[in-house]
Amino acid sequence: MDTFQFLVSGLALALQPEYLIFAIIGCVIGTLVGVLPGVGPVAGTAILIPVTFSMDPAAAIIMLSAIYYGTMYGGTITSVLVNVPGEAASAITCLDGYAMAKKGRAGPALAVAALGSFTGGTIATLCLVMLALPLTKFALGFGPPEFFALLMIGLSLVAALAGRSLILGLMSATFGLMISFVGIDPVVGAPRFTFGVTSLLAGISIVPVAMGLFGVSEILSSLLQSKGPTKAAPVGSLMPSRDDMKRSWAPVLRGSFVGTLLGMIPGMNAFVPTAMSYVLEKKVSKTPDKFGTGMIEGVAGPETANNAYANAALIPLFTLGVPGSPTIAVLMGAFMMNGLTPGPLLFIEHADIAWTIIASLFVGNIILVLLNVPLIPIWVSLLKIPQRILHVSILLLCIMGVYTVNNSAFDILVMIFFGVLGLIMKKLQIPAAPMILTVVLGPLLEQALRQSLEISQGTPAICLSRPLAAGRLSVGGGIVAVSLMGAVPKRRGTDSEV
Amino acid sequence: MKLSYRVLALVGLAFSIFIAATALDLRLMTRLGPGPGFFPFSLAVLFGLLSVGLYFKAGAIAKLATGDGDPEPRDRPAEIAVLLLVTTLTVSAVFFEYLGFCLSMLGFCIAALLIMGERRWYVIAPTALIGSFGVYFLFVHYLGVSLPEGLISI
Repeated sequence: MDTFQFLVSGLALALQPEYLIFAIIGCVIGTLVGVLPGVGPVAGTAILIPVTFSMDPAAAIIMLSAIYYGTMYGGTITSVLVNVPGEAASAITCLDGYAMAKKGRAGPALAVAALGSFTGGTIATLCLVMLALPLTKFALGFGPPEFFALLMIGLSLVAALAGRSLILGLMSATFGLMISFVGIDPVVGAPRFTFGVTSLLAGISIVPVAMGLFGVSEILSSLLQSKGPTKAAPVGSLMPSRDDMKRSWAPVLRGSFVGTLLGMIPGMNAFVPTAMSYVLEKKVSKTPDKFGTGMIEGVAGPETANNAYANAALIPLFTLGVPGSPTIAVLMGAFMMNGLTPGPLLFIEHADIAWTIIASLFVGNIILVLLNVPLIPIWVSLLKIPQRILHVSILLLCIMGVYTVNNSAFDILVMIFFGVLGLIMKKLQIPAAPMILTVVLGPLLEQALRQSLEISQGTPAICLSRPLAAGRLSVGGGIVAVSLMGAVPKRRGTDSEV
Repeated sequence: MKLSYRVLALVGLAFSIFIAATALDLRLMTRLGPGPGFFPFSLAVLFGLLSVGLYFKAGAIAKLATGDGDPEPRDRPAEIAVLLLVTTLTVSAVFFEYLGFCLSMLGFCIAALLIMGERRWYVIAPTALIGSFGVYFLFVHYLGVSLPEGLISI
């Protein structure tokens, strides 16, 4: 079968009522997660993983993916109406979106954001469709050394996620790797760092780590910051004017391009494509000085880039099995917990599931537009829920979600530990993203390297003697070098990167 | 902030020494290459080096973190609330399986709401009841999620 036939058969399955319902549920939960400040896409996706255990694997991933890209749209609503981004990727929308809301034009801003999100998401999904089979065929030739080299690229991207200080970012990543080595050694079978605790023999699961770092820590952190009640600007008419549409189509296309391109690069932060799209719109505008005063281009471009990025970020996961961001790492964990291994073999062993999920991305983007625009007043009303009740509910869901992964109360304690650790990291401005990425990559990386060394009878040169592996290691080295070079000039300046 | 980073660096260094020592007890190398202790040992060494780097760069990193402005003032009551919430979470986790989901979460919801400053019983009672018995009923009976029954079964 060719790509088109695979897609059509996937679409036929994705449109079945069961999958359609889970896509709708995912979009609703995702939007909810995006609307509520403090619950990011990582925690939102992680909390719901245990609920998916009793579900069909395809339905489970469809729902979790919908939560992921639904979050991206949900964040826009609070950015425009309250000037508080629901998640980091929507922060740039506050600039012109909220300015439009203050002028009584929140409705057109949200409508254009929804249409842009749909366009960006659809274009990025089309790229996934076109690249899926060629990249999969290419990746099928990988042995353990090539896979190790590929994972090293993922690991080298830690430098990109390191934030303001490279040292702190690397410490976070190294700690994540050390956590990933807890449990039974994959080759010899010896217990490592279990300290006699039976619950640690199976290792530390990604779910309690992600929920602790991104869910519990967020709530603990919000207790330290007293916030007043949230007041939303009136939505007004949702219909954009002809002038709005005329001014928006080009930023939407440019945003789709920027978001798709950057989404395919593992390690790219969700904020980067939106910021880059905003800068691009400002550069091409005839009135750049008016940006920040309610320019529709400043909403259309970044919001399109935002959703294009979210969908395009699935390309390396589906085709190469490499998670490019913390949310995608959690999604990868969800794949594995549901018995699916993302990467080229997914298209061989579970082609029907893979194409159903891809087709559901198209369906999900349509659902998001149809569901979100008319329901904006309902989403806004959710902001009136008292924060205390919201926080207790989230903690409750976290406890329940973590427990059900292994039916172990020990995992709740692990989550609390990482919640406290996450709070300390937040206070000390240590990025958590590298840690979650390495917790996922660590075991895969170790297994690939040790298998490679077994093949070569213990000769590390195997990773350099095979062209594909050597090429990839060079790319990884290049990424680290570029990241370090980027840090050096800043270090000399006042705003140094250490 | 500078002091906090220095303390973090020293804790990190102690942690890395402990991990390196533990990793040495596992085999570092086997006939076919790295053994179970090789990667943890290497990472412990790296973590130790990064901790040393952090110790000496603490001032510059602190400047990056706070900019030129003063660090945020400490809020004692909020810090106590965080401590109490973490304690409540831990106690709930420890007794989670013995008491069961309903009772442990009932206690947790009431305690957490009180810690967060809620004093209205007509808010606390329904939230705690829905968060414990309501959630249990929904997830166990409708979504097929397994949660501990503990002392009572519904």
